[in-house]
Amino acid sequence: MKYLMKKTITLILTLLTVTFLTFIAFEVIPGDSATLSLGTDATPEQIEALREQLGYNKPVLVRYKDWLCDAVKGDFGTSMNYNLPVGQLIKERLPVTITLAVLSILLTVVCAVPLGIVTTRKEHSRAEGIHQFFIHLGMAIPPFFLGILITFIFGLTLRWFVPGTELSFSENPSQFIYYMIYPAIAVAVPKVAMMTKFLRSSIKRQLGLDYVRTAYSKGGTNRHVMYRHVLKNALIPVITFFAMIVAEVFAGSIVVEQVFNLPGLGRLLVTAIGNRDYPIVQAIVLYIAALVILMNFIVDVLYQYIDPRVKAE
Amino acid sequence: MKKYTATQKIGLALVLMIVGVTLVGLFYTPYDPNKMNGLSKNMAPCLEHPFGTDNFGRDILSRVMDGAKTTFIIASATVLIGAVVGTIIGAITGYFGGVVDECLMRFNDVVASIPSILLALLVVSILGVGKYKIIVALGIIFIPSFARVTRSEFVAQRQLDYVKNARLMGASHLRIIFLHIMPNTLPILLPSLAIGFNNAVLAEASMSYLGLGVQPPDPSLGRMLSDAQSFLMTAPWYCLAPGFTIILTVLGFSLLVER
Amino acid sequence: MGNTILEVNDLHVGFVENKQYAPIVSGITFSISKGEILGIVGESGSGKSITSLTIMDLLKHNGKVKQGQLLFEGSDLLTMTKEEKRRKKANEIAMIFQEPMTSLNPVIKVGPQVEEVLALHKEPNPGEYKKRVISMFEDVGLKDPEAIYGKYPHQLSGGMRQRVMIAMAMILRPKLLIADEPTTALDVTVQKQILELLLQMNKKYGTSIIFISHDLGVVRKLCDRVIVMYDGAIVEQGTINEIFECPKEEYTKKLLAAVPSMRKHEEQEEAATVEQEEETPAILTVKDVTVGYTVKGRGIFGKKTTKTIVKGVSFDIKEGEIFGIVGESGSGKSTLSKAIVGLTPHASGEITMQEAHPQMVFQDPYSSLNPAKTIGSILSEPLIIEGKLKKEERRRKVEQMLEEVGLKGDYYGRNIAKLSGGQRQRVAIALALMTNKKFIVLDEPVSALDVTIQDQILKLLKRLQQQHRLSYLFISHDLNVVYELCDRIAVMKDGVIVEQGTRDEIYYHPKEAYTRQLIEAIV
Repeated sequence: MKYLMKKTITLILTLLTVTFLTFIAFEVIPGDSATLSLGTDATPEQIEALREQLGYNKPVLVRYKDWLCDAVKGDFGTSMNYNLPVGQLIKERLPVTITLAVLSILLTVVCAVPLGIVTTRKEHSRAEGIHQFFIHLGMAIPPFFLGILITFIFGLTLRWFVPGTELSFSENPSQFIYYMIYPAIAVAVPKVAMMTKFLRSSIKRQLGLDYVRTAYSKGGTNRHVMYRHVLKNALIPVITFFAMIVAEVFAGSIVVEQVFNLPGLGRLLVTAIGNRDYPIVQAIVLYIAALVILMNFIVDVLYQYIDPRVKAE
Repeated sequence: MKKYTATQKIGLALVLMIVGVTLVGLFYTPYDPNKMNGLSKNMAPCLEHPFGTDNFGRDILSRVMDGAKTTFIIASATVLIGAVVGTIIGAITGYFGGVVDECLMRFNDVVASIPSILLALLVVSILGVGKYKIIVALGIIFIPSFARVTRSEFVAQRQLDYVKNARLMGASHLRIIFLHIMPNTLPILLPSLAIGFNNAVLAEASMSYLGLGVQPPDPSLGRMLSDAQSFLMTAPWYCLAPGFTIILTVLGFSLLVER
Repeated sequence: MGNTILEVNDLHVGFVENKQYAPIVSGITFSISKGEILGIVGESGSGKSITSLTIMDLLKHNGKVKQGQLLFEGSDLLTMTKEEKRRKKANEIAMIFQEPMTSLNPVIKVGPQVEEVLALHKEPNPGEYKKRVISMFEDVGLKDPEAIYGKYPHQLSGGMRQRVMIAMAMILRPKLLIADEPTTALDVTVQKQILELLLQMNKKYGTSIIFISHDLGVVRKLCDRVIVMYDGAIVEQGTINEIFECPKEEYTKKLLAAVPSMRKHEEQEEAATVEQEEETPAILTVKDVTVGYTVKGRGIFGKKTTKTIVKGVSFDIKEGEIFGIVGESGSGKSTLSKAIVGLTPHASGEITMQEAHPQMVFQDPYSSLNPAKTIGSILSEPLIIEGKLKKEERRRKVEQMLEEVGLKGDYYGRNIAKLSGGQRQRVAIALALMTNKKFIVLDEPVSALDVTIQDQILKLLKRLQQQHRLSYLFISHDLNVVYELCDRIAVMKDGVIVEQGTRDEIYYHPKEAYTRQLIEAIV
């Protein structure tokens, strides 16, 4: 219970830091949004009036508090460009990004775990160089370039999907998910490589430890030693690494959404940066950061059930 | 001294090739990378244009050589900022420990929980786009990772008896940090420089692809890919040269430093 | 011998690296009979561990048996199929290892870890497995075996873990047990208990034991017969009496002579009284010193708790004296030494000494010398910091010092990485003496070394002490080493000095029960 308490306090502190950072980041921009939305022709009085109305004259901390309270309720202000509430804009686009991220993460885990185990088997040690080469190749491919290649090969040449189709989950879920698999592959390939590499080095580190020798001395078969003894230990650090993969997957989706013309958070973010639509940028950064931080929190909590040594600390 | 493994040899070959071509590109490119030619639009790879030409009839090889130069300069500058600042912060906090270290590491955890490209986009949306701004943006977001690597090395080395021995001799803290411990962290720091360079190349390419990095007329591999995507139907070869330049560079460095 | 259980014939084992075969064990032949305890002694690199790993088929992938036979009850282990060998393990031949800390899987409870031996060998009645494990735990002297069954390794002490390992090895009543340095990582008092347990297992179940150790004292106490190995070959073998009382080979004699032992000196020395010069001024006075760590919980809000390691310790060291502190792990002896040289602050009490910057020689010469530097630059460092000498003068002084610690020749420019443990420890001693020190703290300086090297370093320390009239504070867990070197001794337990006095007082007339227990555990 103490462990859970400590982790919860850390979670709240982390969230507060991130929110404060994203808030303060946009405070340092020369020319606040009042000046921006009225343009350069506005008289000082007009600007002053708008500043008053938007609450820009209050002290920073008070405004942070107000902004945070609104944000918790889902109110991130109004987009200057779309003239719509930012919360609504995000809500419309969230399903696309979440689907893409979940598919990519699933793909990553489903591919990386077996690959990591198979390539570290004793009988495969001769192909070590080849394994390494392909893992590094996988990590070297930029997701957006892979997206372009996939569009060309599967979209334009093989015509398995039509690039640029507008689909929505509510109207046609199966088709939507089918279409999303292609961008998910583009996001997942480098992450599969990363995670396989990590798992492999984790397994190899465990294979050198004394308890493995003990397991063999008991008369354990290779299978027994790998699945009963080594994996239990080797997967523990992978769980932490998984949280990082989640962050990376979101990063990858921002770019890949652009490639496949998907109406997700990434597209919204890129457009908003181009338009200097700060409330949107602020809100999206917060959304994604909060998601990743929550993931980390869940992993931390799971940790104590998986690693018996954590409780003892 | 040390024997290279087969994969390291491949990595070394790739790095030498890429660095060589880029160095040549500083002084000579087969064509003027920005010269348009209405007669040779969207040409497939041929003898005169080994990687073909783009929609304005510009030679893709020359543009890739030029773009790689920009990308590599940005990546090197980024890593330099990140490594110098990060190493110093990591060394000092790792060596002394204490409250400052604790707070900085917490801050570091927070920063690490935001995907790096998101952070870069955040900085860019504040600073605006452009060659130098992206160096600053990426440089800032690379500081924490270098700080973390250096710090954990310093925390490990600090416990070792040779550091205690140096303290007993009366060596000053700065002397211990830079003369005694730093040389021992090099085997870890040098590969992380290469990995950092790779991440910077990938990040710069992504941002330029999104149109938030290097701006025209400066060429960049990421922007070329963004252009190439529009001509995927008519000139599918356009995307290959810039794409594979990125892949081979990153692959080369990461194979080279693989242990 | 009709009742031979294992016969090793002309065994050659080595490692293949870069397609080159490097021999480790070259042509050893020996046998062990039913119910016998056979000791194999040798220093590191002698091939004793590799021999045992070969018998158990546990060599790393680059290990290779070049030729030879391993006849277990007449059938050759080396020509068996993998599956046949697997069935023999734990069932007929079992093994326990040096590090009970790491030899058990950290994330599986110890009961199931033992239980899986039964499952792996398809023992009948799976329903009875747990009961068998618990009764085996009882057998190896684990108290409250049912509670132990559900514990993770990190919840047990080192001695308990080694008992679990023995239970795991013995549960199928193997005919042969290989014990590879099973007590080396344990405290002396625990070591004694484990040795007794092994003897008990041998008596009760008639199990033959191959006992591998670097510690001749332990082997002498436990074994019936002993094999001395050096550089991959058997130097000499015979009964305990033959080897220890009238060794034939030069190496065995050297090895035996190098072993520090109070028993060896018993006859000649008990009468001699050490002269005490009361007037000699003290070089170090420690008065009522308490040292504690502040243990901080993780995170910014982690709770701070103070853990007192050393509690109100007082003693003094006179000029030219060697003062020993002995204690088991966790007694606070190392923490105390760090407080004395100023590496750890002390919470209360007084430490006064003549030496402004006392130097320290650490246990592990692999971590106490900067691996990135040459010997010359390491030894010059204190002189550079002192800033009195010019470059050539520094070099001359360093070379002179190297010669004094027995490193003649071109050591100045050599890299630390290329030195052996003994050479490194010589450099560490030279470093401590570099700026004309009078008082040095030695924290387990010979514990990581082989017995012959250990002997050389102890002799060097003694010579330097006499030449320069140095004072040492010598910290060790090894009562035999302390006996060899020290004039006065303090015994520490749980952060307090239990007893202190001259060497003979402590060793021959101990007053406290704990001291007596320690002395009795000496082998």
